[in-house]
Amino acid sequence: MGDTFFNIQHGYLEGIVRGIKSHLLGASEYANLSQCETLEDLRLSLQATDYAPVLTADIGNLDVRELEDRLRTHLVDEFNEVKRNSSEPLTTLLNYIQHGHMIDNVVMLLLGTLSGKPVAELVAKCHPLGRFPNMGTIGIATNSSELYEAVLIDTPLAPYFKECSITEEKLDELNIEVIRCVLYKSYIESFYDYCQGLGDTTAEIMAELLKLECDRRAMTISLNSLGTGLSKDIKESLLPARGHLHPYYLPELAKIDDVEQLKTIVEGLPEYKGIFDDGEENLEDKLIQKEVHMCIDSFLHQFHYGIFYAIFKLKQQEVTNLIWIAECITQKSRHKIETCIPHYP
Amino acid sequence: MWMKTIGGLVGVYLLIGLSDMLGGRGPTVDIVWLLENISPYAMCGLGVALSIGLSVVGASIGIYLTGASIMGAGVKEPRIRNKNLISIIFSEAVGIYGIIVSLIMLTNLEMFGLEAAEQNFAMKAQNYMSGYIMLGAGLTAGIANLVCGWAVGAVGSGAAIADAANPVLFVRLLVVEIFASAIGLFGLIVAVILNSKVKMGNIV
Amino acid sequence: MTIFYQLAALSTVPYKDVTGGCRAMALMKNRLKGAQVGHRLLKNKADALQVRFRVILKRIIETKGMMGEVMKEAAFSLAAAKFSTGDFNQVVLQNVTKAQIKVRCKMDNVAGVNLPVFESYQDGADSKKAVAAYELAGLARGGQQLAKLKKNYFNAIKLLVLLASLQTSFITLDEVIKVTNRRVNAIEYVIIPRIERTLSYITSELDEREREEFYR
Repeated sequence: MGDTFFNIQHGYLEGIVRGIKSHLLGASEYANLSQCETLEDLRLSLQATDYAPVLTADIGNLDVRELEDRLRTHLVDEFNEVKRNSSEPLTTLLNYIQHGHMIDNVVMLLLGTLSGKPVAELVAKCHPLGRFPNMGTIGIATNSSELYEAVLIDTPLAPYFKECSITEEKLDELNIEVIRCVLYKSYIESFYDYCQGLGDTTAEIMAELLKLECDRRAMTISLNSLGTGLSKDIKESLLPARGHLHPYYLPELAKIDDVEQLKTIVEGLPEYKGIFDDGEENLEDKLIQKEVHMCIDSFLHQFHYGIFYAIFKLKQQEVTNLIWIAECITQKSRHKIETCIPHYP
Repeated sequence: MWMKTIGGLVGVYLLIGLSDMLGGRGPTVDIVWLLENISPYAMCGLGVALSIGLSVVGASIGIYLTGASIMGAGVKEPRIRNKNLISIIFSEAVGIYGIIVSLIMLTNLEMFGLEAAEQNFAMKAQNYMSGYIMLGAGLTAGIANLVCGWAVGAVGSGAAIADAANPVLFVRLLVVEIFASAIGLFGLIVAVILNSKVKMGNIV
Repeated sequence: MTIFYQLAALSTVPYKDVTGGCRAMALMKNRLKGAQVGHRLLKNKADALQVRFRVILKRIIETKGMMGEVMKEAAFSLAAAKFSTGDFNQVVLQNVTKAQIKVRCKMDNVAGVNLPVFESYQDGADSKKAVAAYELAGLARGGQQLAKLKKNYFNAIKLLVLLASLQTSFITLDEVIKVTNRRVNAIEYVIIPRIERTLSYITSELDEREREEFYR
């Protein structure tokens, strides 16, 4: 039944998003791009794609930074176009997508204000997807308690701060990376629960995508915290409790002492079999590959909200890929292009 | 939700009937009496209304399902908009089935004398039967077309998106769409045949 | 070139203020000896410096070659880290309060020349928070790449410091060698010939006197 009425509100946007998806760069485009000798070649190759209007000939001197700016602006424009046309519950879902970036931005602002940098400068450097109208007000705060108030009142992230009970004192003493992880954990759990509340295909698809995200975080956090001074309790409080690893494996993950233990735990799950085949250095690449595939697969179902999450994941990955290619070209290491980019159909 | 409401209403109705029956007020809830006192005209009218009403709902579901997707997919691939109008036409056909059935029913609707019917039992039976047939035909056509429109819409929306992604798929999905459209035709045929049994009026 | 001619011209001019006599002759002989010793010593110094100069030059070339490789790798690992972590520039910038790697300056003595030698060392005196931030960067994403990045840039900075130290030594040595060579040449081509001419002048003067004595 839910499918029938999906198109009233979201049919148009679904069509647009699927249009964007079918214009994503595919294997052949990536093969072409990796043959480019200079950035100018890259620009010309991109003329045949969706990025043609972004990379017009009027750019005098194309460098990686300029390219990154333009691609990112393009992504944000597309996102905003979809968001402006959206209605509930899609709007909330898109808000959730933004919250992820907002966490990064707010953490950066917190850090910057605490170390006394001018806010205007910091705001300019925030990720555009994570902008919110009252961003500047954070900078008015002078000490940590005012800062805490400002964050609670002016950002949409207040529920996450509340949920993971980050109080004023903690803001001062905890490491900023830890705060970010705690916030992200509570964010992704809330996102997961919201998607489950939507029911139907959306719940099914988003569950898989978000579970992967949770597990990815759990794995990387436990891997990267090896050999650092993080205690097991703190570690466990950082691991998002919604993935396939939840609930039986998370306490074990927090306890591991070396990579081998991590491998044993993770490889035990059917979903992640063979993820360590290329060694733990390539874990993230493999996970990115897996995520890209799942995002593309989510387009096989119609009438659900998962594709909106998936398309922006894919788009972001694409921008990252293009920047990677541009970096490889400018640094004359074209042979390394293929190593990182996930395989597209 | 719906089921609960309907169940609740039926329950209240039965409770009233039971309490009347047991309270010595006699069988006030009498279904036979109810049915006998509904005029065949009401049945005809209901049949016509259901046939056209449900069909139009089906057609509109089909059109918005398809239309929204064509609009969206047409943003990036403008070439699909002409071809995919055929899905809209399929949906529209569903509404036309409904109107055909209701027109046939309306031509069969004849006046008959109620007093004459009271005296001539065969004539009364014939007219009552016609009434029920029309209700049945209306329901048949209406529900069939509602579901058909829904199906055509869902397939049409998929077809529009698939066409935008890969033009080869359009013809294949059109076949699927034709099959979906056939469901409505079944309803139409059955309703037309049912209507041929209708004999209303004062003649026996 | 002109300076050479001038020098040559200068060397032909004998000391005018010398009055003939055995005393003056002895004085001049001493001076000649002193000049010769000085010349030898300076020559040795110049040679020693030259040897060191060559060594440093060789090492500079080596280091520069290596520098190219290491910097390339470091820059590339920055790109790789960006690929897997996203934009982490700001977070790192905001976290940093003090430099982690510092440079110490020592003096090395080569044939009486003080050469500055830079040494890099990790300063553990940074606040605990910053150290934790350094360790935990990329905790949730891209930690592996960031670790690689840290290592590569650490190597790059070490090389940079080494290169800076070599370059400074190179410039200092170059200067000193030039000065020493100038002195050596001055002694060899100006002072010694001059003294010799003065000596021969004195000798001829003495001879003249002797002849006068003889005829008288």
